[in-house]
Amino acid sequence: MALSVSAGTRRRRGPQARRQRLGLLFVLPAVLLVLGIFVLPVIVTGVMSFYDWSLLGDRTFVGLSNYERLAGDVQFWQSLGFTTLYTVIVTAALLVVGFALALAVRNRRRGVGLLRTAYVMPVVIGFATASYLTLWLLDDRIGIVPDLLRRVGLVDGNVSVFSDFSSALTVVVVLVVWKTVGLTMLLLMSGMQAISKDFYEAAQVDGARPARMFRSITLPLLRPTIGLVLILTVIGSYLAFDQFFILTQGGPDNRTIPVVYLIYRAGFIDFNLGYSAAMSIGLMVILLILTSIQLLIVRTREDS
Amino acid sequence: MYATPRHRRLAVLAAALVAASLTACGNTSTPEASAPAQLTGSGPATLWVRAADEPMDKALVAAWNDANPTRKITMLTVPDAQYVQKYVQAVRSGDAPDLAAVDIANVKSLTTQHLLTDITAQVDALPYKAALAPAGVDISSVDGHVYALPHQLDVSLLYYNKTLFTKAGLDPAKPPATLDALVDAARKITALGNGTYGFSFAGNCAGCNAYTLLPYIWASGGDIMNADGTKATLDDPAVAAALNAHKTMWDEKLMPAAVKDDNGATWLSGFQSGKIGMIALGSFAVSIYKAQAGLDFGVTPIPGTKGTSSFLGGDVIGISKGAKNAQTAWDFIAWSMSEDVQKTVVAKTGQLTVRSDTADNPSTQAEPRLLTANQLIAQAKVPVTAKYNSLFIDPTGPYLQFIRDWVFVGDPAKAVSNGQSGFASRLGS
Repeated sequence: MALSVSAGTRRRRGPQARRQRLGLLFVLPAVLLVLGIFVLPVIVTGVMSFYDWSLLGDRTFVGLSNYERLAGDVQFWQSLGFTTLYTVIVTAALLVVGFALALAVRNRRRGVGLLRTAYVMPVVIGFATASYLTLWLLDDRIGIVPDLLRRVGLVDGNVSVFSDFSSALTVVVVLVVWKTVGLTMLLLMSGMQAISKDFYEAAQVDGARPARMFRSITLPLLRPTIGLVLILTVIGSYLAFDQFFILTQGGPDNRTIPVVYLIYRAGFIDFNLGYSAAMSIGLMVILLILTSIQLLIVRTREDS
Repeated sequence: MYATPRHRRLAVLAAALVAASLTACGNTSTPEASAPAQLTGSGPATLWVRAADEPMDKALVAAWNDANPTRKITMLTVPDAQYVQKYVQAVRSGDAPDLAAVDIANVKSLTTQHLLTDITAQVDALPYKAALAPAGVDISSVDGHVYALPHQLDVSLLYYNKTLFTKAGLDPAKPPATLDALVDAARKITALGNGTYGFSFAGNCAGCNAYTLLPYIWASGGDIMNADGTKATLDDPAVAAALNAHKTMWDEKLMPAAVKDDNGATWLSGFQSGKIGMIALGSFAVSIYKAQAGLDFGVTPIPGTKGTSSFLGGDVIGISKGAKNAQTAWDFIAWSMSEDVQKTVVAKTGQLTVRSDTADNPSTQAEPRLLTANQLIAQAKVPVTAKYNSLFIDPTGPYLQFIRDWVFVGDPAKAVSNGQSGFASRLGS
């Protein structure tokens, strides 16, 4: 690789060309890294998806039949529907809570550093760890929450949050918001801090109230940041797995199975890597389309 | 197409990467099924066990290593859920352990991939071959060739609370032998009131119900899958008999409302509290309940409409294909099944013996409920399917949903039609 790069640029000489060659050398490790841990696995997954490829045994080329099965797989589309619902709820919740927190901590005040740290702390906890914490907190026999609820007199008898679809989903959403809102807050906060104070001063002179300033200055100037937050949250939510795998195990009655759970199940329980790969590619294409749409919207607004 | 040299180089690079990646994944040639061969290699050997069944193997390996200092066995514990995948990868990369103790219900995943050594000749030479748990030997055999033998066993049983039986006017010496008698007893015990329920089961636990609900079906003279495990037979009258009994007990509130959500976490605790009349569990629970003061309980085979049945759980042990110390491995297996080791080491850890002719031993005489369990290994069954995990253990699998649709939703027709397609879809993948 290094050889071919130098061979390709040998014809050009001079200080500028040398700087370019040097630049290429500097990015080479990054390029290799991307090739090795992103491009290559995607290619392998793509190839796999055309095979009947067992985790345990042989593989045979089957052409598009994994994709044909995917198109007719009711569970995949149901699961995609559920993942979309989850994504919409999580994204909305993250934006609202993230905005509120960012507004609360955007300006330097006494104690604000402590608050910022507290909000960002959960981000560094792994999803599996956070999920197990939640599981134990809510456990009917050893958890603090059911015990508290019973002592306060709010409930009588067993507390089993994961036996009901809406309460199970609520728990997962609350966990995800708690765990990731710090990052949303950070992004929005730095976006807000990048807005020049002159705008606000001018608006103040014109007699604008805080609500009007938020609507007419903060929101429009934050569009690129909001776009970034949206894209990150949507991708992250479509790829949700740990929290459902640990907390709901797909229940109650298989109603909380995100797409990645199905991918995992096909590959590591059914041992069908081919179909698992086809689902991964399907999800990747859907995510690419969604992200492109989001980028288009954000860009048009920027241009207008 | 127009292509600059650089583009061409990139294309070549991409092609090389694809080729390299394919070769990297391409070491999965199928080992040939071979004829019974002489076992070779008598050096120290390695053994893989799954985490759930570690304690007995620890005792066995310690005893073996004391007696055989020159060919010790090293044991490695693998998490249950990763066992099959890890084992397959290990065999394919030539890094397999000499001995593999694998979940009975998963052994077909290994034999269908030809990963174990044929030990038919060695097994045929055993004088006690007929006494080994037959379902464990059958499921480890392919076309009359044996690839593994029962190693650590556990059978499912119906546990009943003798105190509650007496209070309800039932004879504690005569536990229910049919489904009708079971439902009838559940009614009488629930009628005692005061938070007492006649029956319980873990209604949201897939694996629990594979182990304890399938026997009600078998004991009713039918099965949930066809003989070679390739198709679900959910419309079998025996399936209806077993599930209708559960539905009746649910509808009549003869079991606590909490069973609907029990994912196995509270499976044991209900009966332990002394408020539950009957529950089907594995024989492992005998030693747990025995320690509970004031709990007077008995065990009996799980009843159906046409007799009784039981699930044979636990592990079988086999020798890996290409094991470097296969002779040591076989010697360990044969030694572990010898009468002396079965009666002393195995039975002493509270485990069932793998031979029915060693079921009667000092340990089971001291605990007659374990004797009942141990004698059941002769008739206990295992579901025959290479997709056991997908169908029966996976919490999102079709079996659990089928039970829940039938018992809790109360719609048998929907349960059967959804179940058939669910089973077919997982069997087809």
